[in-house]
Amino acid sequence: MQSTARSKPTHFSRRRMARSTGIFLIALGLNHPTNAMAQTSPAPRSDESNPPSSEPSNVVAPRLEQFVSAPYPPEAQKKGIEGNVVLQLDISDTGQVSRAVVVNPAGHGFDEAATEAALRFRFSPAQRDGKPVAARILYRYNFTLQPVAAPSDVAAQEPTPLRNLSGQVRTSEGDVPLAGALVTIRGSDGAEHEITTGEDGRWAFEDLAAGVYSVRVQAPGFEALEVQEQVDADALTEVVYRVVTQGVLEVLIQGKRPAREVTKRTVEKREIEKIPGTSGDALRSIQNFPGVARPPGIAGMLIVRGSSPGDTDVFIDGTLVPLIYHFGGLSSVVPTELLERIDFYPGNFSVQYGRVLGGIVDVGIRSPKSDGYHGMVQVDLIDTRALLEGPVPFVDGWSFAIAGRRSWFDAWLGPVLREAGASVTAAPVYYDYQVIAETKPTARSSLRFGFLGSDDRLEILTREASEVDPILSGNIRMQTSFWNLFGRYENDLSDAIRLTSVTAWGSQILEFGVGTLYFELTNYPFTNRTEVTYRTGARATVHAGVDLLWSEAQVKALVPQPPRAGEPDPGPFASKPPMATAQDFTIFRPAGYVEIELTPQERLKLVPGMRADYARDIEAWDLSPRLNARYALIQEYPSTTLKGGIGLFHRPPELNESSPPFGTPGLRSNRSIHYSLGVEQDISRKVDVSVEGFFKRQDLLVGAAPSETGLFEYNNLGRGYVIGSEMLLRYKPDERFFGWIAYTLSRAVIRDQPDREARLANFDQTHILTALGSYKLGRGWEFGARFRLVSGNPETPIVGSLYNANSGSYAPLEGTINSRRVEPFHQLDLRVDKMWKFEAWKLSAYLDVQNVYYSQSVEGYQYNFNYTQRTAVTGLPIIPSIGLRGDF
Amino acid sequence: MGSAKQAIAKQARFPRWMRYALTASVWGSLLGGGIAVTGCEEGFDPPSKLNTLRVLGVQADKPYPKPGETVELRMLWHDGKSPVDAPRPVQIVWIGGCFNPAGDLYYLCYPQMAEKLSQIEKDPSLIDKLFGFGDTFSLDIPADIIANRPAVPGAEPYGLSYVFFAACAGQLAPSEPGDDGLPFGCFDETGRRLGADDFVPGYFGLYSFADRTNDNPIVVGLMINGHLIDPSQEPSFPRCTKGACHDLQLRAVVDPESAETNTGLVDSDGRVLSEQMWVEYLATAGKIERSPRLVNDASKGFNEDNGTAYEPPSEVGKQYLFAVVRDNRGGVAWVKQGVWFE
Repeated sequence: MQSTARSKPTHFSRRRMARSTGIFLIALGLNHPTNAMAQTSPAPRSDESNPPSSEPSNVVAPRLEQFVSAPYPPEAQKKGIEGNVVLQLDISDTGQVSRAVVVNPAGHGFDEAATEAALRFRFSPAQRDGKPVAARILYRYNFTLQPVAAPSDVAAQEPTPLRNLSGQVRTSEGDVPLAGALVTIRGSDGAEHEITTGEDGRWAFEDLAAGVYSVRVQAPGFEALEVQEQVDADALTEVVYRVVTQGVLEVLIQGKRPAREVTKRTVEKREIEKIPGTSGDALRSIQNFPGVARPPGIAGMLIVRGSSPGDTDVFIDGTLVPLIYHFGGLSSVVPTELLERIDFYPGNFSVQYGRVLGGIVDVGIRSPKSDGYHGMVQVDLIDTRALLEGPVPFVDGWSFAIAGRRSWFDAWLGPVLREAGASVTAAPVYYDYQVIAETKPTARSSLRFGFLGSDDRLEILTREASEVDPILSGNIRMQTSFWNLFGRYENDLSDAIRLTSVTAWGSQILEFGVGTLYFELTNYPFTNRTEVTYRTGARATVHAGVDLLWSEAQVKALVPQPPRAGEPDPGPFASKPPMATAQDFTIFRPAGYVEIELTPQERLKLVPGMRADYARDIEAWDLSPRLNARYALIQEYPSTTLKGGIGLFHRPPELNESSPPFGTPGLRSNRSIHYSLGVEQDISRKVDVSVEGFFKRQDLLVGAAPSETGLFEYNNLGRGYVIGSEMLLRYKPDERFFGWIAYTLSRAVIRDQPDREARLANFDQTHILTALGSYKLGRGWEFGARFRLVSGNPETPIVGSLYNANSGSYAPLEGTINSRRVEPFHQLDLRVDKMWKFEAWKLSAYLDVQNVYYSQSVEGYQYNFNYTQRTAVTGLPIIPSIGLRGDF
Repeated sequence: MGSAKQAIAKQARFPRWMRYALTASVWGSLLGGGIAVTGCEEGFDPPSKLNTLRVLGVQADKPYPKPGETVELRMLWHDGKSPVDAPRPVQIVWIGGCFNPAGDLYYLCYPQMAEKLSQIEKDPSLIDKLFGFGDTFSLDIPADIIANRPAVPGAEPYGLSYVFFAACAGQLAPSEPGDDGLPFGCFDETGRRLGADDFVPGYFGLYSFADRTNDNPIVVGLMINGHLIDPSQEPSFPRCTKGACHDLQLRAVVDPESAETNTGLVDSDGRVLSEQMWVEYLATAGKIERSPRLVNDASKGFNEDNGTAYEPPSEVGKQYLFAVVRDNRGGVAWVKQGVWFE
């Protein structure tokens, strides 16, 4: 992000003066928000002889040609109030301002005056590769009262030299002064002057002639910045430039970001890509945030604030997807290169989300590039992936992206399994694919179609029968796959009304079979999420939407009666007669919601909302009121912000729980109340900390108990709670370093039935500490490390066994469920990157080593055949991963 | 393979219908388990090594007894802590009387059985009905066992009887529950509670259907190095020495026809399933390489490759080899073969 800001001297008369004296940065898009960067000029008319910049990316920013002075609001003038209004301007490829939206209001009539004036601005359009293109910029319209120099001031002025253009260069990330940057100015006469910023990032020029100057800021590791400044001969023009790190990317993880929040906590893609142990996979980086527990073993699960993995939903571009990771977390189902953002809500999320009690991961896919063809190929030991994007040939206005990935560890895992005695019928393999096509029908709207899919499968015929339960042997097959065809439409119907709608249809298949037993689910979900946002003024914005889920599902199963949560081990399946079913289900779960963003005063933001869910399978409505709030205790640096929320959350019972033949009719939804309270505090310009406490009270949890008939029936008598606190101490990324320390302290307790003892939840982890950092050594080298220390998972002791003569194996006799823990987990991961830049492309290589010092952390215990001896099952050994990647 | 069991156990909970995230963990478990197979038993005596008191099987003459029938149970056990043909005195006790416990869970028999035991004082004849001693036991299946059990949707109506038993190389006696929670224990002559090497409690479930029947597998005999051994003979083989140690190839010869059709069960493609069968190899000395082994896959059919290599012991003398074949409907059969190593 790049910015300039400037201010005038601070002695003012009450004489009316309304003009734009400053311009605040950023072009967010030239039909291409990922890379396009441009600056706007405060000058009312640019110097046409000034050649278009050839760097970066052959982009020329829109240039203000016709400035319109806004009338100074009389009331503000009367009271002597000044103000700055930040506007978001959409500038067409003809240079007209098609839309002006107040981003940062000032009130007192400034907003309306600035908007009205800005709509009459005239720009020379932005250009890419010499062609005019549409652009979006942020523009700060300053209302200042005209200064009048007192006679005494004039008399006191120093005759020479006169400093009349000065400023400071700061980094966009972290907002810290940048020393050593080269600032070059060139006047209309072509004469150039340059200066290097000092330790405080400051610089100044003296005795410049009045006129328009081109200013260029260059610093190693940062994108060059070019702007134009109007300089007066007898007045100081003071500016602040913010430069952006080279290669800055757009994927954001908004850690702990409550919905509709005023500010965002962002983590750049550079961080995501370089976190050791993740192999550059953005979605795996979520597991390093506070509130997210370490999944056991190599299981690919998201365990958020003590909730079970099934209590966190994952959306990709607004569509619900059934899984986020391939093969137990080896990689995610959408490549990082396609991501625009990751919103992660560990609790107290907006009413736009429902049907879960835990957290939400909402992944946004970025727009394909349209300024030519780009691509990427990455190869490592696990898989190979590729991406190609650019304008759709022969079709104006459309761009596309196509990407795919295929694992190739079947080449080595197959032999390993064969060595272990298995006959691999179908080697384990996964793949995923994404096709995106996008256009902008108008300057205010966008339309996207997408086709996403993923497939994991494996089939093994093992001739070794299981010692634990011989029935679980023979032909083992598994498949999980899905595809989604979706359309996404966004339109700013007016300056105040915005429409977003995502409709998706797809297929989801889950198959699992072992020997005689199998479970197959085929599901064809249709979903629609539509939201209308109406900005009623500076103080309130209303969001209203629907969240529709309709699906035809087919279940075929031949399985023994499943064990129930919290129940002692029922022993081997052995000769239990399996239950067979083949059923078709129709699921219909519509929901509607309303949410209001209120800003009753500048420091306070309140977000009340109400969501209504209907589940036809249980014929019940659930109402979920929620409230989130933020209060800026101290607005200026070092800022302090308080935040909190309370809300009701529901999750309908599973179909197998509520529908015959397996389920019990008449169930209600599981319920949870989320409470949270926290504070965000700047410690320095580069370091901030946030601390948040949370409490989740859960009731109406679906459990099972013997009924009067002697059979088990489901009920809503389970209860529980999760209590904890999270801390994130983060060093904001700068040109050299990024890192954070995340710590979570929590306790999750469940009482499955009223007559049972309360127990620790299966995924309870008392302490979760993650510390990571990455440092750029220079010359393309970067080194990173991650250390994790986590409490061991709960474990149920085995106190004896009974011989099951049906199977020839033993049934364990369990002690108190989850009454012990395995040893704590600790692991160090290291990563080294090296990048080579060439004229048209760049090549990067990395070595990512997990578990560097071979910590043999215990994941569980393996028992001998009659449970009289046990040995620890440790986690993964040292795993080096080497990757190569080319980008063009 | 423990992880595979956990995997299907998790799957059997039918995770959220639209969410397969749990399945990812199944993948992980399977992969982890698969990778761990090579080293998971390191340090443990394998179950095929008979060096303690062990119950090896319980055979019912009618694996699917009809309501009202009497079923005869026979136990195969071996005391590996004693010389091969001189076992210690072993007490064997049977306890019947549990029918259709809640959820088909064996441990929910306890309330039902406690109630019956409490009636013994009033009706001493219950002792004969509930208890048995020795290698065999007779169990009367109630005539109304199917009618008394609520029908489970998706399953043909059935009744379930549980028989509990204990083998003790000492003296069985009621006691305060030990670590294992059992209300009785096995004690030596000094009154010391004996552990798993000398005391094996267990249970056996018998399903009753109105129409389904099941026969025990037919084990023709044990094949050693390609030769079917006459059970009445005790052949000799070289023992394992430093200079020469030649594995024997063992294979239980099972009549493929005894892998019956699993009545009423079809796979997801509509194909009729047969019984799943497996064989467990055990030896009083030496080392069984692979056990248990798949004999018949429910969908893929008979597996001829169900044998194992066997490393003879280094000691001279007589040993026993066992092959216990089971199906997944309560059927079991075995062969016990004496062999000499010279």
